[in-house]
Amino acid sequence: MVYIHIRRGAFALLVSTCMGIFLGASGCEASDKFGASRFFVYISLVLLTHVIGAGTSLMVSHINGDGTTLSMLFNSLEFLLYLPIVFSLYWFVFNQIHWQNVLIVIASYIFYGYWDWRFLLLIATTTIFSFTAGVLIERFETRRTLRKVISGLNIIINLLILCIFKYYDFFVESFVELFSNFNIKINWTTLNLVLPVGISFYTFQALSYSIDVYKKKLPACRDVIAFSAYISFFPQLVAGPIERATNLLPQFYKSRHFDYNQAILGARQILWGFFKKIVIADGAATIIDNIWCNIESYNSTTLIIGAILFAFQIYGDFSGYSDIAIGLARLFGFTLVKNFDLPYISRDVAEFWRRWHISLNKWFIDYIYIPLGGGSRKTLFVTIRNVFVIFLLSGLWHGANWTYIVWGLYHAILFIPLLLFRRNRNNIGVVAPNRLIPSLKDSLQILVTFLLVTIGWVIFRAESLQDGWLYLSRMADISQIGIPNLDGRLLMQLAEVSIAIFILIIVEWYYRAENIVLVNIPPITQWICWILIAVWSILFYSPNQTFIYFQF
Amino acid sequence: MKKFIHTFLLFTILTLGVFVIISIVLPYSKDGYIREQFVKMDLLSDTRRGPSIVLLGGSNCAFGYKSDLLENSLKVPVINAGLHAGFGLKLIVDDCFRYLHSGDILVLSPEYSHFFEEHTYGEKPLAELCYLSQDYFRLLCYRQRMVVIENLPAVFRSNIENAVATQFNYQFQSIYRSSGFNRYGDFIAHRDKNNVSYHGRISVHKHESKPNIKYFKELVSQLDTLRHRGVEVVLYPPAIAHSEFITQSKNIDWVKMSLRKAGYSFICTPEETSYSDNLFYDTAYHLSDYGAEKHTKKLIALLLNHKSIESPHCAYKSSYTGL
Repeated sequence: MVYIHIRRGAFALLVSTCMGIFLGASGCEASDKFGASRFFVYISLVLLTHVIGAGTSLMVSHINGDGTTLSMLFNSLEFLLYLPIVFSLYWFVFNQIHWQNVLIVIASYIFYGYWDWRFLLLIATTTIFSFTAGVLIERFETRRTLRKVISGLNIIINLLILCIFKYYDFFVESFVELFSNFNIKINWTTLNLVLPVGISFYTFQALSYSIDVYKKKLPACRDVIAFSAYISFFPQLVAGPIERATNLLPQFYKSRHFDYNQAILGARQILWGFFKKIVIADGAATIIDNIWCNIESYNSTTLIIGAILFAFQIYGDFSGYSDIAIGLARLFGFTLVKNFDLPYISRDVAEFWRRWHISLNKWFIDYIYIPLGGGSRKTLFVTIRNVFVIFLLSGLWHGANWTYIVWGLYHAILFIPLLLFRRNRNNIGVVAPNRLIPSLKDSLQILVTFLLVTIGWVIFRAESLQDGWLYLSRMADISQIGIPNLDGRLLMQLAEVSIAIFILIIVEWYYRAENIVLVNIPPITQWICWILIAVWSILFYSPNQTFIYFQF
Repeated sequence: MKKFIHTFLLFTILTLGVFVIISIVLPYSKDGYIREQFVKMDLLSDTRRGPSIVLLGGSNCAFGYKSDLLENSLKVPVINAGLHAGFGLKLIVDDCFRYLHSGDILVLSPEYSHFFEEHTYGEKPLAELCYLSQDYFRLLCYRQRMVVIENLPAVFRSNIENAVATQFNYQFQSIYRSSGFNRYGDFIAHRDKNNVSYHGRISVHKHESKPNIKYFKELVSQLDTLRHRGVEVVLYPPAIAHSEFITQSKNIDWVKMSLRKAGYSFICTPEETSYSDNLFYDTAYHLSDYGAEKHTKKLIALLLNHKSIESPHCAYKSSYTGL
């Protein structure tokens, strides 16, 4: 049944593509409602029926246990089929804002439900509670205590969902282990719940909304569809950027029109994101996984290479996802915040945190660090405490594991000296502006910062603290330095990934002051570059590669 | 919007054009491991062929037997039709079963992972096979075709890597070649070489995976059909390194019990074909020279003594006089 659905869907897609070429060639415009629109209504609805049918059948077979696994990653064929359908419906059929928002909600729920339909209940709960909280907070504008209670309740409910699904088992296991060291037996059982994809991202987004409404930075949203679209917007639903309601929500109220330049920029950003994800992150993943599986059999040089590669893997993976998300949003007429700003050219750790996962760090600063007292006008103790709290929470946000907590604390230790000597805001803005290469001082600072961050990534990547320590100690063992002892195929792969990383560094460095790479060059050169990037990304494509940050 | 669609289509066509050029300029290696599948199927489809023992499975089968020893001991012609688990059990079975006829003895040794999740629908090697012969594409179901489409880029990439490696005389696939097989279909190129450590490599199979019930039923139905065609079916557990056997024990138990329930018990217990790790060449399924001999001798003994096996559901109830 499912095969019939999908086969029909694929055929219909082929037909729609051919028709699209025909219509494009015959001069049909988006505004020609009785030409292009009628065709797209028909084809898109047929396709959507097939995709929903296929998805439902797959879910049923998933529940029945025939071993089928589901996911609609950006780098999957399912998404390749899904995106043109949603894009076509969005611009050709649902021309009014309200219906465009309805489509976004439906598309986002199908997208998210592909992982596990039960996750939809969670996101719906988060949406309903936060929406209601916003309305009530505004309604009881004059009753301060009641507003506080409603806001607090909403925060507690959202955090409770997050904690139960993400942290409950970790804390139970940690407590049981802690008490067992003192020969005290505790019979707490773990829940073994499946961690819903991207729960940390949309929970934080929902929290930011209700807090902003409480602080009167934003009027409460009265349109449940627009609000649902804001919480579940599929380009950034599962791995960010974590959008503030003040930036994204108003965009759902405004009418959106197709803009060629924005769409082209979006498409380029998607391609660049795929290059970072597929060529660099996935290419490096095979080598890194091999090294981490057998740390003791590799020499120090190989382990150093592995650590550096992981720094680029996680950057390629996460910033690649962000680029794809931002590019996709552009295709639909939305502007998302920048999430990465070349973090590896930072000259100190403070600058690194202004360039890495910007949306999360700003969230922590605005909603935790500043309410706690921030870093100014307070005693030294309060400042240091606040820094530790932020980094500890940042580590914990990444996952329920001691490695993340230690990673957070490690960065806090690196950050505090800068804060104490008031050098944490020394390096702001574009690095080496109007220069082809950085100065010697900048270069040394960049190198030292990169090395410190890379050591942190070793702790982050480790499955346990023991593993992390083993890796670091073997990596630092100078007697083990030699020719990398990777096997032939992995060496070949290392060469390929190294070339890609080199190109990434050159291109991103050159365009460090721009929001998108490969601009301001002759059109023909641009075409050649983007085709090569597309070919390279396709060549490195390998199915079933997920995104690291989905687990957070 | 029209301009955007035109730009997008032009970009897509030009990108695909590059792949067409790659496929013309850089073809698949003439000595590629996967090419052996055609040789094996030619042997099987030979109409002059008499009743034979057909060994079938993934690479555990290609590496796991000394077919000359088997043939000489049992006085029955032997064809080793196993090549690569990456084809997926569905393709392995669908391809081979077409050529089996009455009197044949099928010794089936599927890798355990084939019964779980979507492994039965294949991986990159399936795409390589279809790249070499488009006829195979017709044999495939939707899920397998998706696997082929998803893995085609990796095939192109391998072709480029092989071309570059050849250019620089850099051999990273030294033994995996179609010239590494003997006339029975046994892989022998590694037999005079020292074992390569494979410990610590990531196991592609989870310790406890979700079984693919749907495919399992399909396989049982195909085995029933084979029996009705007069083919004797023997399920011989694949040779597997002991360390891997332990990590896979829950999956293996599931396969063993499910096969027994379906009336197709293994001819011996999976424990009996889990050998010491040092008998394996470069993966937990690839036996070394000595390992292959041991595994073959075990099969010979089992086939010769098949009547002494008392299991009521045992698949091998042959009255084949040639043994």
